[in-house]
Amino acid sequence: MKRVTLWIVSTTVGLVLLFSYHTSTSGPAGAKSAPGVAPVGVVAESAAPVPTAAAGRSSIGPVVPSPAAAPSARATSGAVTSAPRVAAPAPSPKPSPTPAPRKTAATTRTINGAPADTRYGPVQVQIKVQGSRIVSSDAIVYPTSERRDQEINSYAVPQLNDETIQAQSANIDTVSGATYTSDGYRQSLQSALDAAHL
Amino acid sequence: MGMPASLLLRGPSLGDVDEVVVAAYDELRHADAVFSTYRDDSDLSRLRSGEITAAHADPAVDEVLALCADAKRATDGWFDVDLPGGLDPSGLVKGWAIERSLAVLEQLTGVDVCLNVGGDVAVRVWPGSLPFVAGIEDPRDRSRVATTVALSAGGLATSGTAARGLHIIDPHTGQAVADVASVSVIGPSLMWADVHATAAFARGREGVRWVESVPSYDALVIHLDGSSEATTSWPAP
Repeated sequence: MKRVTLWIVSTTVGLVLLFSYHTSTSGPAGAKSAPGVAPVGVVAESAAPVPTAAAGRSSIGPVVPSPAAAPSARATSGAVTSAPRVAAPAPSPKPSPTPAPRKTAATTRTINGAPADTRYGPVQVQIKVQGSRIVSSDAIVYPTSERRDQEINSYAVPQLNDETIQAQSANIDTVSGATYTSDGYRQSLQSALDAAHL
Repeated sequence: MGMPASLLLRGPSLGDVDEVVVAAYDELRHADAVFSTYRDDSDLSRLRSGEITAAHADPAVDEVLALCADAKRATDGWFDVDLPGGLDPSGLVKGWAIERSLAVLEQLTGVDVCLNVGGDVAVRVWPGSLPFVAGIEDPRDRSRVATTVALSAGGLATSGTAARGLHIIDPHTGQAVADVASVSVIGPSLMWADVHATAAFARGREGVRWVESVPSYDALVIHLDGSSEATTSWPAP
């Protein structure tokens, strides 16, 4: 059994700003999410397959299930569940997603994560799930307000989409390398996973 | 705004972990309340502004500042919390707080713990259980994992400029440094792994050779051209 909890440690980012320089003047600590984020939770279900072509900056094609998936002591099937009941309240508003019944592998569900406030602004992630596998992840809300933000996002967001898929298929438990935007991304992805009851 | 703490628990039964998990997060929250440079009401901010003296601050302040002095000595001055902007022990506090949080989670007998706070990872694996697999981000292409390392105990910390740009300063010159792309350090203590990773990054190309001389710690340096170099005991993936 394997369980993941994830929680935003409010302003703990201040702890790691040693040697830092400020890349953005927006987004004071504890700021609420900007307007314009999408509804949280399961937003669509369909029996149609996920499109294979990468459209625009944020779509990713389906992933071939890893042949190295799930050796003995690693996660049992479907046991990667998150525990929002454990988590302390997140700083951003996080409406309870509607619980979704498990679907067959042929059904694709589209799930929006709760927006995560990053140093650069809100980031919100949408994932598509077939069965218990993530087949794509898109950042649907990301900061674009300042030039530096755009620089960051121009490389960070699309690559992070790949990272999610890669980490899943490579069976990696965790990733070392601190970031801001991707931190928000992960948090939002995690809340999408919560909603999916993966 | 905040930094996510991702906690992965693995064990035969995870029914009654909630109370301990909350206590573990409380450790992180407490460290933030005492040491945040972003909160005017933190003990550290009040100390910096002269509003209080060390004697009136949370006892953790004394403990951390003593560790900072140890870190400066252990790194020949390459890790220094006395910054141009004022005293800032953030680079050590993060690892210190993660370790305290992990210590709380070790109460969970038989439960393997992997705690990742902002890219720094501390783990605890019980005898007979498989290690956790940590990916080390490729600093030149963050969609990729440059390599992986199996962890059963201790910590893994990475210093680099891929995410935040130039932010590590050579304490001897006051200039920002980026002679290498990233430095990852593993060892029995995450706090010290983090200190050594920061110091090794500041040392630039000499960093990995220096970590070689630090007992029980190993480093992997990824150079600007993508090549990598590791200490002799760095584990093969």
